[in-house]
Amino acid sequence: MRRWMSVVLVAVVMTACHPRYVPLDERGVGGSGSLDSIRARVLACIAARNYDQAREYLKLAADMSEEEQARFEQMISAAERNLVPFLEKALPHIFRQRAGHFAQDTAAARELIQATVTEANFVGLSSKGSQVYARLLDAGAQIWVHVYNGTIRDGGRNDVPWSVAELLQ
Amino acid sequence: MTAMNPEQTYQAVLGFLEMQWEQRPVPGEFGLFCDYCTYIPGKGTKDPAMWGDWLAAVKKLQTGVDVPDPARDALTPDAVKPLDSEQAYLAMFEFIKEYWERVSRPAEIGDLLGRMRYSPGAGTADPEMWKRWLAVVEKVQANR
Repeated sequence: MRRWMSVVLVAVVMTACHPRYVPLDERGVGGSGSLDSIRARVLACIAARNYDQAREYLKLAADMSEEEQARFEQMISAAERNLVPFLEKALPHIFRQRAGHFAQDTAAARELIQATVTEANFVGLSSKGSQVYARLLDAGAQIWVHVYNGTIRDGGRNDVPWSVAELLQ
Repeated sequence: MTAMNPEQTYQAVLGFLEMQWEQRPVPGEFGLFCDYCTYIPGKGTKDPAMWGDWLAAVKKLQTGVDVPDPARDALTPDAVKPLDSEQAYLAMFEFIKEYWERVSRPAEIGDLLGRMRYSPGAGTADPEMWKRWLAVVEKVQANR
């Protein structure tokens, strides 16, 4: 009887101790919680400059839209190339359906803005202390970017280019 | 004081922001906001969206209607009525507040809004704010 009870007790303990989390390679198929977790992990890996691991996590995000996947892939690639990052809090101000701005936060729009922040495209310091960058695209439009404290704070596209004096006024 | 059109009130807003900047001319969140609001004759605001945001703030104050983003670019000064100095101040408050909320409420601008808070009859939380506002309004009206 005592031996039988010991067997039952061991079985109960084993059941209680069995991990209930979903194995890592099965994640990303659930609801927004698992997607949020993957987003956080990708961002953490980018911050830690662990780009291969960031891409591995991104592969797990089966429910993520193609557009968002592309945006994360661009973020990883931009970080690898040491491009100046966006300030996350400024994104709702940067991507707006308005004149002079990109309507959607897409990988292509991010790339156009971030790739403008180079020494060759530096226009100067604005009167209030932000670094202003601009470049002309082949089609004639102008990409403009404001950088402050190491992050992109504003940016967009002017269909009619502004002069250096206007950009810095 | 006579009523001002939206362009004149925007000049007053810029004058008020510049006065605030001169109190503490240190680059930061408030400086960035001032920068984007800069008006370049013949072009518009340095951040092209700010002019429409200003007109939308005036429109909201006058009608209660919140003009959504794409439609803001189509707003013209004709779409709003002239404002007296109190209405213009309230529109400016809403204009700054909307930006503050859009960029996740930076403390520096939040502090300014706290000092700017206006109660009819009682004035602004920091009385200096109202004095500065009246000074820039007077200047704008003298120049027209």
